[in-house]
Amino acid sequence: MTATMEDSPLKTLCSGVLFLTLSAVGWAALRQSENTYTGTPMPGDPGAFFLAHLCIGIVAVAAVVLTARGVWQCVMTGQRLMSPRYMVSASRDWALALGFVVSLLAMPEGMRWLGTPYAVAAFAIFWVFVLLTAVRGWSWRHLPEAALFGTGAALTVHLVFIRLLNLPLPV
Amino acid sequence: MLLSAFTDVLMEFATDPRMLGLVALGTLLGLVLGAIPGISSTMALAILMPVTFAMQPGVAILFLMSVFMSSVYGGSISAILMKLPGTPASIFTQIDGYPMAQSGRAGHALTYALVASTVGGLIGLAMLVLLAPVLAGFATNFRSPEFAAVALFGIVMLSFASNGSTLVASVVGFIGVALGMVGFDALSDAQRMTMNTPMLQSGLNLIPVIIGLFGLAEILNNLIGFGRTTHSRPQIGKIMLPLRELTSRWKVMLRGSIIGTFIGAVPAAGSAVAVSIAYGQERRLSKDPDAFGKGHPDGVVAPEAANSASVGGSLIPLIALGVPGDTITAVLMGALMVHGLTPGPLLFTSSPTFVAWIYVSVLLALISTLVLGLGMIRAAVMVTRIPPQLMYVFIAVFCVIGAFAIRNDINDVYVMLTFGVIGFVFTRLGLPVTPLAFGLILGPILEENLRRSLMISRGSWSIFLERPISAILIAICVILITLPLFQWLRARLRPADIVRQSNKPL
Repeated sequence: MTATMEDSPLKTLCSGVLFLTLSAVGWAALRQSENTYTGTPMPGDPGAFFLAHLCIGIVAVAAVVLTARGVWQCVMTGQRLMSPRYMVSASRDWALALGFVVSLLAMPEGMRWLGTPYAVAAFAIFWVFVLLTAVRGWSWRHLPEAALFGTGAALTVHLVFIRLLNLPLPV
Repeated sequence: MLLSAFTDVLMEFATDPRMLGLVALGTLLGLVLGAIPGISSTMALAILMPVTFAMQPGVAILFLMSVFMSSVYGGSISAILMKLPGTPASIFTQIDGYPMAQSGRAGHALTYALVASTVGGLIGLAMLVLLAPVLAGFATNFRSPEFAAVALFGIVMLSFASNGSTLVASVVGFIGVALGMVGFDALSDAQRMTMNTPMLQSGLNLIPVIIGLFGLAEILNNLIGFGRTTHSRPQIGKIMLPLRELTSRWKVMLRGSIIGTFIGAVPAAGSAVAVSIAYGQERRLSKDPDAFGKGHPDGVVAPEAANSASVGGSLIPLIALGVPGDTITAVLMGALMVHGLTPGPLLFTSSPTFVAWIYVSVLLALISTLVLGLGMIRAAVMVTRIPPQLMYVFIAVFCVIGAFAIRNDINDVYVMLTFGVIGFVFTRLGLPVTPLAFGLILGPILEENLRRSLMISRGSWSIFLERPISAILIAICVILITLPLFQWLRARLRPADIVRQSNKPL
């Protein structure tokens, strides 16, 4: 479990910026929807967009407060927003997670083109190899282990999800 | 009517070898997944949900309940053996469980945890059977203003119980509410926040969102700093305890179970709050409070009984009001909705079989957990030796397949991935993720009942204050949201606290 926002001015600032982005995207999407809607609300009904506006408004106010507070705390504590040392450490920490997300983004296309079992096998072999390397260091000897697990994962998916449960996965 | 439905379902499930096999499979998966560090009960339930898509609703409930109940105990295995609590609720189990394991009594600690968990679960179930119909009977008087207030209360209570600032957690809850409105409005047919994208017109499907937030996001978090930590595995030692040893702790189990049930029944209070109160209470009442934290069996028994009993407690608002009691029941509610089952106060009269499915499933899952858990105590060490990298990869595959299989739509996979990244970023920033899921589940209930109430009152907001229950719930929400603000202001007026408080956000 990571530390809460209270521990870090940088986290407060980043949360403010994140909320600001989310409220801006939400507001833009809502305006676009309102412009295309031509109906009139029923008597008493505050309308289809009322609660969405209220929620996005609350998020926007919180975003402004958090951003201002984060900046103020950073200035008061003299914390640099992005020190090179922090950036290097953070990017090393996040590299595995980012790589994992990117390969998962490619997986649906892989399922479509190769079929689910093969896409699962490719994904599992690659990632077990990478994670074993992260734990034990680089060695080709991890490859048989990764291949064994990847084949097992593909076989399990094929037998359980495609054959037994009849899920309509691309084969 | 409910009793006859209960006995019918019990006979049907307990005499069918396929059902018993399914309970055993669900229990085994729950125990294994719960015992692996980094995999919580919520995650176990979220990733195994797709397995139930092809099942009948009753069978699906049986399987999911088996996973749910066994993973609650499974979480304590890694807490006792490796000092790695799988869930926040297991944190208190490790305080005394790990020292017991270090002194060669891991088997005893696991047995205490298992028996206390079973007793707690049974007492929680008994309370569920007794209290849920009463609350549901009371809730039949609820109308739109009350339901809107209950939905708001659920979101705010969860924000209050979350780590960090209540206001920030409430804001996350409102982001969830806004996301729940994506797609066509049921009342006016207006498109909302769809950006003319066909995949958003039908709204965000709950299941990919849940799988992303609680499955993928946890894996991504576990990948941060992956491979840097190693943990020793202790010897199990003796397993069986003298019966007198176990029965002498009946008061501890009873107290923990009652605390667990009632705290668990408060929407959003959750098992983590229940176990902390149960542990603190037992330490206060103990003749030897200094032994707590050094391997006192009561320090394992009390939180485990409370943890398991809180499951029954958290199911009370889910079944009676249609409001999930905590994160796991929120995931469970999502699973039920996939199978076309919507919990609520009318359930006891309209569909007693559905209620009976839940009761019987909890009962069979508890028995199965006790039997398989005892048999698995020695194997528990092997489970904790499963390389996490294998599990992470397999769970990621599960997440993708599960998201895809709901509607056979590749876009759901992208929704799952998006929410996985959102959950990951939120957690890294110290923002609570659960209010987002709660907002998404309760948002549509809140909006529908809010607008219906205003249409009834011709736009007058006083309708929420004229009805006593909604007025009280709204008053509690206002107090909970403004409480941190008042505390902050009060601290600002006290010079000694200025420095400490100035670093805290609102």
